[in-house]
Amino acid sequence: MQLRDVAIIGCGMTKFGRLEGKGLMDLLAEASLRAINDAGAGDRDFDAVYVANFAAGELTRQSAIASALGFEAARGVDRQFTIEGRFTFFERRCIQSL
Amino acid sequence: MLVAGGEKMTHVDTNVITGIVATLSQPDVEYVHGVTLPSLAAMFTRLYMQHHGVTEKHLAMVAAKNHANALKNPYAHLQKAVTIKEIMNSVMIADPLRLYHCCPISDGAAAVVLCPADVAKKYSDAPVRIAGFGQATDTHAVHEREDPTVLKAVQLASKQAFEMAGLRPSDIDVAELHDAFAILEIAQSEDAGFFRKGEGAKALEEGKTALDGELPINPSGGLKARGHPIGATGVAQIIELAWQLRGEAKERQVSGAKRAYCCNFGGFGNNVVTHILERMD
Repeated sequence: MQLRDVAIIGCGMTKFGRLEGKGLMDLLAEASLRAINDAGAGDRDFDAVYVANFAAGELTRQSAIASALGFEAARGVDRQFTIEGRFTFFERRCIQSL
Repeated sequence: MLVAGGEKMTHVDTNVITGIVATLSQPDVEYVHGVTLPSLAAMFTRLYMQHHGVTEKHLAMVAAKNHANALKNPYAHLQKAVTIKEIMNSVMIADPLRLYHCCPISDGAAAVVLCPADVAKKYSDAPVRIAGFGQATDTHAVHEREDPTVLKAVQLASKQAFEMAGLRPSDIDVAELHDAFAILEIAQSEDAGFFRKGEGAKALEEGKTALDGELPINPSGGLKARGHPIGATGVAQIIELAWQLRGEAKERQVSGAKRAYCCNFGGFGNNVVTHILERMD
């Protein structure tokens, strides 16, 4: 099998610790947007999103987080880099919870 | 391509988390008997002490080193210098493991963006090439392994990564290992091939794994002090090494780092993933 040579072009992380007031999706979106920003790739399409997690189903009653992150990161990237006037993902979550 | 990892844990009681994490042990011969990760690590540590001359002081030295490194990492969970004496007098979790020999429970997330190496310079002044990787599994139940002090999946996954990269352990300038418990940093430093079996503690004693040593291990502070939001840890290890290779690790920068090794450790070594990263000049 011929493997393609791959490089890391962007890195982003949240602070680690006891982060009260931030949910799992907030943390994943923050780290992802930082990485995308670091790569200067906010205006580019992504062909795949992979998400690693141990026990969100039990710890935060959430699953399907890769799908959720794809959606949140796309919204966040829109807000940061291209489209004005859209909801930020935080705003959208507030609206959803109403 | 975006690769992210994250975990939100600190809102849940420690006993409940320990119970959830324990479900990764072997169900029929470990979990049913009440095994938790700290208790499994304690038995592993005890055996390692008997077979390979590791002492409680060595365990404390791993923790003190990683706490000192984390003080230079603004992303780290525990930013506090801890002395050998404090570590050796900290509360007993599972004999012989004390509080400061164990990683904390943390929240956090980490993400990287990947692209084909031939276009990487369009996006980054200092892209980092994935020179090699490996993955291997081991017998699930730790006591059923031929020699439970040997982390065979670390050996196999490391061999694969080094072969793919065309490199040897002596070519590596900096490493991130999975020190969920202090003993694991010593064991992995041997099974990855950096030191002969039984000589990891000596290398630690001689300062070889310190930030200014010949092979700095866990400059980020490791799981011990950067913290261990489980799903985020593997990506955070890679990020620390990418920053080191890009020369962006500030106060904890390993000077002239060109090649890095990473070991991420699933379960108690039953599924291991390794990477070798290289600066693209």
